[in-house]
Amino acid sequence: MATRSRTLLFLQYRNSFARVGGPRQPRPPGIDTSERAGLIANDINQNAETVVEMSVLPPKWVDIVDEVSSAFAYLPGHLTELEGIHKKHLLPGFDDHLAEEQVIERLTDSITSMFRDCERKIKRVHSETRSASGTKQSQILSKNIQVSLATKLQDLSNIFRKSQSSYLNKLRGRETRSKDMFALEGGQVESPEDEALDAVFTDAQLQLVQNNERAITEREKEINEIVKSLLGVADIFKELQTMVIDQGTVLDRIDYNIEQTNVHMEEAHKELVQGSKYQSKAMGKYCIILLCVFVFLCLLVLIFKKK
Amino acid sequence: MDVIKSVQTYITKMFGEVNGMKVLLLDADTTPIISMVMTQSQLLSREVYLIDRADNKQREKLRHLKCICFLRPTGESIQALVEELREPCYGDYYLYFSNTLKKSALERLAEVDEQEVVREVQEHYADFLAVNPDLFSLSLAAPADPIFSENSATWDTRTLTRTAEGVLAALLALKKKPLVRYEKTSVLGKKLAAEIVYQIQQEGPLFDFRRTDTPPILLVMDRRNDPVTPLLNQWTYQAMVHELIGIQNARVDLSVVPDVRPELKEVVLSIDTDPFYKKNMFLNLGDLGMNIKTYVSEYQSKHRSTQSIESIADMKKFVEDYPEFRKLSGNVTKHVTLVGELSRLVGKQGLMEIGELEQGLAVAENHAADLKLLRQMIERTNIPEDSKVRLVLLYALRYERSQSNSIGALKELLLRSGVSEKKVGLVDLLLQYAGADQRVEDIFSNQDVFSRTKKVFEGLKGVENVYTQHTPRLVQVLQEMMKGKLKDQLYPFVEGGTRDKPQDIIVFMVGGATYAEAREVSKLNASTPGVRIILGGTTIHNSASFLREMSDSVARWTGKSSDTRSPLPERLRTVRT
Repeated sequence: MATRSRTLLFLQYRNSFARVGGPRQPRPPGIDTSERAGLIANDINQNAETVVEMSVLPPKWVDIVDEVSSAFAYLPGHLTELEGIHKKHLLPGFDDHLAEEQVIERLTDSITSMFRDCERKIKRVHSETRSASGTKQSQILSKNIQVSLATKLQDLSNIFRKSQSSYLNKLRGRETRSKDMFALEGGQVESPEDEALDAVFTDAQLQLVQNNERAITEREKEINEIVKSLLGVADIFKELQTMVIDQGTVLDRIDYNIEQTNVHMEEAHKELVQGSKYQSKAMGKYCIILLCVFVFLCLLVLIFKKK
Repeated sequence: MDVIKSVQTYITKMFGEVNGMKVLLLDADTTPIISMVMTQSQLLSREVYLIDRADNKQREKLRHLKCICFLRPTGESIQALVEELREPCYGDYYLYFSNTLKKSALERLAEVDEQEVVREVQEHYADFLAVNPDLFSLSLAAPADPIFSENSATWDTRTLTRTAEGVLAALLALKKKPLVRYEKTSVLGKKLAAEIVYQIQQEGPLFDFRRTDTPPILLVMDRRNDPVTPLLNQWTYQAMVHELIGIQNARVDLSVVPDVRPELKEVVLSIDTDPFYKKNMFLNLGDLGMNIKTYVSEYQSKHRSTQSIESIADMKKFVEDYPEFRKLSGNVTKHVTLVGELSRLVGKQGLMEIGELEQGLAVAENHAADLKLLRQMIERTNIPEDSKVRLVLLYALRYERSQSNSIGALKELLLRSGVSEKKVGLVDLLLQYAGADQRVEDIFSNQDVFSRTKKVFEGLKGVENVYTQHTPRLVQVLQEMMKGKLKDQLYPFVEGGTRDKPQDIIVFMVGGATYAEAREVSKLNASTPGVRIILGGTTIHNSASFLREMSDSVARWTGKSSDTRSPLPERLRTVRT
C-alpha cells in the first residue's frame, strides 16, 4: 500500500505563488499594515480571512454532539467498572455484600440515566436543525450525525445489556440453588412424621433459616432492580432502532445515497420546471378570461347603445 | 495480496489522519471505488457525516467541517477542485488522489489556494474496483469505454491510459514491482505491457519496494484468446447471479423479478458485510441450495424462539438477540429471493439441458451428436433466443476449422426459428473477433495429435459434474506458470526474464475477466500454499456484456462505429448470398 505525499511540493508551489500574488494575499508581510489596522476590522482591510473567521461559528447542535461524545468516552469505563464489581459480588464469601450492592445499584442507576440522557440529546440533534432554518445539506449532515451517534449508543447499550443479563442469570442460578436447599429443609419441617423434630430445632437454627429468607427477599429485590434497568435500556434500544440504518443493505451503500441526492435534486428541478409552466399557463388563462369579460362588457355596451 | 484490504487500508488511513467532523467529497470514479469496500455506517463511525460529489455546485458553506477529497486526478475533477478552492465551503482541506498527480495540476491547485485551506496533498493508489479479495475490475466496457479504435491492433488512447493507470495503481497498492509478460499474439496486450513497464521506469522511486526472492509476475492476457468462458452458462453463485441477473458494482437489481418485495428491489452482495455470501459465493447451485436450507432452518429456530415471549426472561433474551435477528432476517430473505429467482430462471429457460450441451461443446469433440442436439434445441420454443445464439456461437468456435461443419445451415435454422438477423450476425462477428486465427493456442485441444490423446486420457478420468466440466484456459496457463513451464516464445517478457517459479502472480485480462475465472483463481489460491494470484480485468463480463463488447469492437474495426446498428444485417446479407 504505497502512498506518496505531495504536501511539501504543494506548499512550495503555494508559497511561490503567494510571493508573486502581491496585494491580494491574505497576510502581507509589511509593517505598515499592522500600524494601520484597527482593532475591529474595517472595510479597507477586511480581507478574505476575517470573513472566514466570522462565519466559522458552528451551529448550536455541535455542542450537543460534543456532550454526547464526552458521555460516550465515560461510558465504557463505567461499564467495565460495573462488570468488575459484578464479578466480585458473585464470588462466594462470608462477609456482608451490602456495601458492594449499594455501589452496584448506584452505578447501574447512573449508567441507565446516562443512556437516557444521551438518547434525549441525540433526538434533539435533528429537531434542532429542522427548527433552526436548516438548509438541505445541513439537514443531511445532522441526520447523518444522529444516525452515527445512535449506532454508537446502541453498541454501548448492547454491551451493557449483555453484562446485566449475564449477571442476572448468575444471580438467578444462585437463588434456585439455595431455594432447592431450603425446599429440602422446609419439606422436612412440614412432614407430619417429623413434627417431633420441630421441637428439636434450636433457636439458633431458626434464626439461620430466617436470615436465609431475608437474604432471598433481598436478592429478589435486586433482581427486580436489574430487570427494571434492562427494560429501560431496551426501550431506548427500540426507539433508536428507527434511526439506525441496517448494515449491508442498499441503504448503507455510499453510491446509492449519493445517487439518491441527485435523484431528489433532479426531481425537484423537474417539479420546478413543471411549476413554472403551470404558472405561465395560469397567466395566459387569466388574460383570456379577462379579455372574454372585456369582450362581453363591450357587447353589452354595444347592445345598450343600440337600444 | 488482498485488493479489498488494500483499498480499505487506504481509506481508513485517509480518515485516521483527520480528527473532528468531516465531509467527504468524491467524483464519478472514486464513488464506486469507495462504495465497493466501505459502507455508509462505517464512514459515519469515522465521523464522516456528509458525503457529496465534488462537482455538485449546490453545496453550502459549512466552515466548521473539515473536508477530505478523494478524487481521481482527471481533468474534470481537478477543475471541480479548482472551483472549490477558489471559494472554499469548508474549513480545512485534505486532498487525496487515487493516482499519480501531474505537477501541472498540483501547481494549478496551489495557485488557486489563496486562503491557504489545503493542509495535505497525498496520493493513495486505490484506483480500481476491488470486487473479491483476489479480483479487481476497472469497469471499462464498450460502448462507453471501447478498447479498440479503428482496427484490431490499436487501443483507444483514453482506455489505454486508464487501463495502464489502473494496473499501475493495483501494483502500487499491492507493493509489487513485477516482471511483465504478455501473450505473443495479442497486439493490445503487448502495447499495454510495454506501457506499464515504461511507466514503472518513469516513476522509479515509487516502485522502490523491498526486493523479494522471486520477482512477482504481471501477466497481460487477452480475452480474445479465450472467447468460450464468457459464453458459457455458469453454475456457481456469484457467476450465476451475474450471468442471469447481473451484478453492477456489487449491487443486484431485482426489480424485474416478479412479486418482489419493495425493500428487495435492489440488494447488495458484499463479502464484507454478508458472511453467508462470503461462504457460498463459489458453490454450485446444488450445494448452495443445501446451504440455504440450513440457513433458513437456523433462522426458523431463532424465529420460533422469539415468538414465545411469556416471561421477562424471554423478553430480555429477545431484545438481546434483536439486532442479530434483524440482520439475519434481512439476509435470509435476500438470499432466498436471489436463489429462488435463479432456480426459477433455470427452470423457465431450460438451462439444465442447455448447460449440458454447452459444456459438451466446450469440452469434447463429438460433431454428429452435438449437431443433432443443437438442431433440436433451436427448434424448441421454450428456449430463449439468446441461448440458441450462444449455442451456435460455441459450435462455430469449436468446429470452425473442421471441414464438415454446418455453421451456415445452423444460421439458416436460427433465422427460420425467428431469431433476428442482428443476433444471427453475431456468429460471423465472433469468428472475426476471436476465431481460430486470432487465438494463441487451441483452447479446444483439437488441432494436433498430442493434445487429442491428452484429451482422451482426461476424458477417461471421469467428471464429477456435467455442468462444470469446462475449466477456463486461464487455469492451464496459471498452472504452467506456477511450475515455471510457461513457454517464453508464447508468453514473452517485456524486459528481463526469470525461470523461477513465481510466488506472486497478477493476471490482467484485456477485454474483461469473468467470475468463473475469479472462482478458479481463488481455488488455486486456496489449494497452493505459497502462491498468491490476483486477477484483474478491464471489466467483468457475462455473456450478454461480452457479446455487446464484441459486436461493438468489430463494428469499430469495420469503420462503422458511428452507427453500430446498421453494419450487422448488411454483413449478414453478403454472407447469405
